Amino acid sequence: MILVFSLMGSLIASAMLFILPVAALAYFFAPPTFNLNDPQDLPVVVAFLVASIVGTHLIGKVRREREVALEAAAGLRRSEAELRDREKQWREIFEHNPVMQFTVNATGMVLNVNTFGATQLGYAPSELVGHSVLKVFLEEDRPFVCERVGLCIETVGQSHTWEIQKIRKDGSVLWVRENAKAMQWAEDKLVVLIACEDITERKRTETALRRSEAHLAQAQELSRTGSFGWNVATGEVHWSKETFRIFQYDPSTKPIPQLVVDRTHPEDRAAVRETIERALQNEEDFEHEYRVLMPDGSVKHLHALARAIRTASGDIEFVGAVTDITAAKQAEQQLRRSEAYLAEAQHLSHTGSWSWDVDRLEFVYRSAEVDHLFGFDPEQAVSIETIRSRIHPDDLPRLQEVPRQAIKDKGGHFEYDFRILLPDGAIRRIHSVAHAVVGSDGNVSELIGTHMDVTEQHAARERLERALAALRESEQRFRDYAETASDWLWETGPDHRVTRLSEHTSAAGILATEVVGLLSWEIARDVEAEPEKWRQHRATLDARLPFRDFIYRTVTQMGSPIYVRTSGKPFFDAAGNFLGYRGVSTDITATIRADQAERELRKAQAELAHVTRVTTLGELTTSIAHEISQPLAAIITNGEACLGWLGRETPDLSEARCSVEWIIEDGIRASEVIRRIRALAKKGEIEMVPVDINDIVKEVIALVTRELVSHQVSFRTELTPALPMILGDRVQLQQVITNLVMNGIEAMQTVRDRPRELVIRSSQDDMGRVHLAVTDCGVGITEDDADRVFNPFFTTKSSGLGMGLSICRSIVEAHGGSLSIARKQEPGATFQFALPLHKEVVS
Amino acid sequence: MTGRSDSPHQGVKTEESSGRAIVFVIDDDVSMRRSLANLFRSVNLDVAAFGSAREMLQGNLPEVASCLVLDVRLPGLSGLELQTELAKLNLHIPIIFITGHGDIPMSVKAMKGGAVDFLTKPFRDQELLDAVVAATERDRKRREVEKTVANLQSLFETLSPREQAVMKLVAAGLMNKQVAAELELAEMTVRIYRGRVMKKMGARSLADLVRMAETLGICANHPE
Repeated sequence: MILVFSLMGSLIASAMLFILPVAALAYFFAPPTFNLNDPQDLPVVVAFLVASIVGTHLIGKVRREREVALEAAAGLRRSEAELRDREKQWREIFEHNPVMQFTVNATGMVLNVNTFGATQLGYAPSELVGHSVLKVFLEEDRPFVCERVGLCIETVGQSHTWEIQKIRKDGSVLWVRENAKAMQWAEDKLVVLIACEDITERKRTETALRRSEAHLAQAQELSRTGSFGWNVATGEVHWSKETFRIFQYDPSTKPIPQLVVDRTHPEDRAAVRETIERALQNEEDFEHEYRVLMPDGSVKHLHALARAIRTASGDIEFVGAVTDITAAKQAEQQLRRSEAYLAEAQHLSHTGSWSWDVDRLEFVYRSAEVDHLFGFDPEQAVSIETIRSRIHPDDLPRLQEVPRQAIKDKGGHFEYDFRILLPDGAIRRIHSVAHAVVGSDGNVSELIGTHMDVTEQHAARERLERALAALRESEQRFRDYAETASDWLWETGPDHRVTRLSEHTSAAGILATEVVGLLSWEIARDVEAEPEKWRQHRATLDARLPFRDFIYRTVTQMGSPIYVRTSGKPFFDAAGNFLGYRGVSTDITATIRADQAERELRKAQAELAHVTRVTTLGELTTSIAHEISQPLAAIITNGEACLGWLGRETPDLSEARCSVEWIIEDGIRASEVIRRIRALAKKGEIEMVPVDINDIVKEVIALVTRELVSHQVSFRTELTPALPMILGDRVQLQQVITNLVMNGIEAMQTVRDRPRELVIRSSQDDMGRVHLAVTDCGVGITEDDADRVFNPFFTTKSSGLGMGLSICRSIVEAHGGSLSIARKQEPGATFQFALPLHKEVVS
Repeated sequence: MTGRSDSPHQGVKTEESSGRAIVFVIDDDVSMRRSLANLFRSVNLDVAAFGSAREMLQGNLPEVASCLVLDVRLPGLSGLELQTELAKLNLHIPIIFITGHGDIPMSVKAMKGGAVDFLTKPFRDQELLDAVVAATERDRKRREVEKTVANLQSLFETLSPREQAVMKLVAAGLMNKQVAAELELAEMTVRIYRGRVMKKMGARSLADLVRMAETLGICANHPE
């Protein structure tokens, strides 16, 4: 560096001549005092060096001022040679100084580096000089280096020290301690002188130490173990970081024994105190477990262990560790609990686990449930004989085969069933799953497995099997029913062609063979006769709607006509595609025939009713004649009167008009009577229409009034107004009422001692039915006759068919009602009938 | 008479002149009742029509010539019963029965009961009118007779008992002498009484007196 100065300032060459010896002297004096290998002395050396350089420079300046004149001209040549010599000498020193020396300018460019420095970094000096010094620093350290150099530049003359890593050319890293200082160089330039010392080794030691400390702390933290020391005599207490954490004290707290006592769970405090006091007294090791109560209320279990150590000064010091064993405690509890759960689960599922030593032929382990299953005493060892005695004799050979097979296979997995025969004779069915454990010698040493009590499942399965058998039987039964019934089942495809027919259909001869593949309208024989019915049916099929009770006619195998009633519903696959129809058909020929027979019967009845009606009309002839002759006579009389009015001297037109009006009225009346009679005489179809019973009564009255009058019968109606409509045939109902009224009149013919009175009442009963009653006060009906009056051909009259009431009853019944005699105390009889309401009205 | 008689409750007309007659009609059939009333009115007869016998009995019968046209079969009180009832009440109205189905026993009964006629439907209206006219005429006559008898009766009642006795015997055709003997009176006395009777009774002749006595029905039986 001195050389550098010399090189930089040729103007002070003479001064250099003078100061060099001084510098040399200074240098050579110094080494013995300082050990350059001692890193601690390095700054001193550097400081000295710098100080001496500065001092030399300052002295040189003064000397140069003073001696410049004296020595200016003389000896310049000699000086130069000498200078070169010295320079070389210094360069040697500089280059081989075992301290890395760098000179950098303010921008950080290396101005100079000594060989040692460059070599240490694996460079030649020429590779560094002229380059940025940053090159030898780690990327991340470079801002720091810049900042440091900047600091040196700002504080010229002040030295700064730091430790930093440097990178060698080969990429390896070394730690250095750098000492730097900026100084004024010639022409106001500032340079920074840096001396570096390799401290890698020291750094490594330091790091290792720090790491092992960290490891210890971490280990303590991980093991939840804190360490402590307690010098009883001095009261000095030392706690590791983890100890603070365990007791939840701030690490800055000064640890004293009282802190432990404060945290101790109140219930354990006495025990803790006792343990520690005894240890103090006996100066012996102690170990104890206790609980601590944390400020947040949680409880920790701690285990503390301490050794009593006698210190050099003869004091007793306890050094120990305290471990948080809460987790362990909890785990222990949990383990205990899960064991209990397992036992409970095994008990509930009737599953026992076990381990069997195949060599010693005994249980290595058996759970409580195994004992329960076998009925063993848990406390006693179980011999192979005992076990065998509990196994069903039939299953024993199979059971013995299991370990044999396991040994042979050298391992493997087994499942087998056997029965346990308990001393009380009960049998348990066991399903066992086991696997063989192969020992270190390669042979099977143990079998580990579970026994499951499947007695219940077995019973359940038996029940299920029985139920299935019953189900199969029931299915067969229904199949038998279906096949013996007149119904048959069918299925059609999406094209409506028959795809399937229950087997018995053709066998029973119901349908002609080979209907499979046909359309239903190909099977039927009434398509032409009833096109509309079939058109609607096919529309239903096309719409894929279910249909019910569709009736058609076809022929049997034998060719005789039959009527078939069929119902079907469409079926679809999972995707909703239409697959066809399934349904059931019945031969209803017999029903249809019965219906036809009934229709015939009805017809006959209607005819009979008609005959009776006409007969009644015959009986009414006189009354009817009167009914007609009255208006006719009135017409004639009014006509005469009219002529009279007109024939007056002054014809009275007003009266004449009035007479004609009456004539018209009476003519209408006469034709109305005739219309009624014609209706009664008509042999028409029964026409069921909603009718008001009161209207019918009024029509009847119109016909029979004269009859009542001529028989001296006073007549009264008690008609309940606004009765609901009933469904009926007007003429037939009129016939019934007329008949009852006529009967009533006749019954009263012999009555002389009391007024002859006939009452017609209409009403509605609780069930909503319409009632009509005809009451007379005639001779009445004897007990015997009451049972027979409705019989055909029964009559008390000298004339008459005896069909009247019989017909009335069948008419009323055809209307869904009933005709009966109501008994009462007074003389006479009441005939009454009740009719259901017209359904549409009801709904 | 202009009102229409189609109401069964048609009351008795009170404004009729003494020369007119009134026809009562009872028929339960409206048409019949109405047409009959119409017919009678057309020939200038007054009419009172009723639907039942009771209705008629409830009203007062006028003191004019009248007749009753009655249907045999009526609700309630029948035609024949009404006839009996009227007889009991001493109402001698002539009755013409009309029947739709004329049976002999009923006709006999009716005629016995004093019916003036019995018409069976269908009858010709002129028949009815004739019957009605005849009946009313008969009633008029009956009423006149009744009136005469009543007058004579009241005159007769003005006579003293002795005069009445004299009148009875004279009307029986006895001579004065015979009367005197009969009454143990002097012939002269009889003659005086006879003169008084003739005067009081307004008889113009003996024959007249005799007729009066017959009318009064006081022809005393001759003692022999």
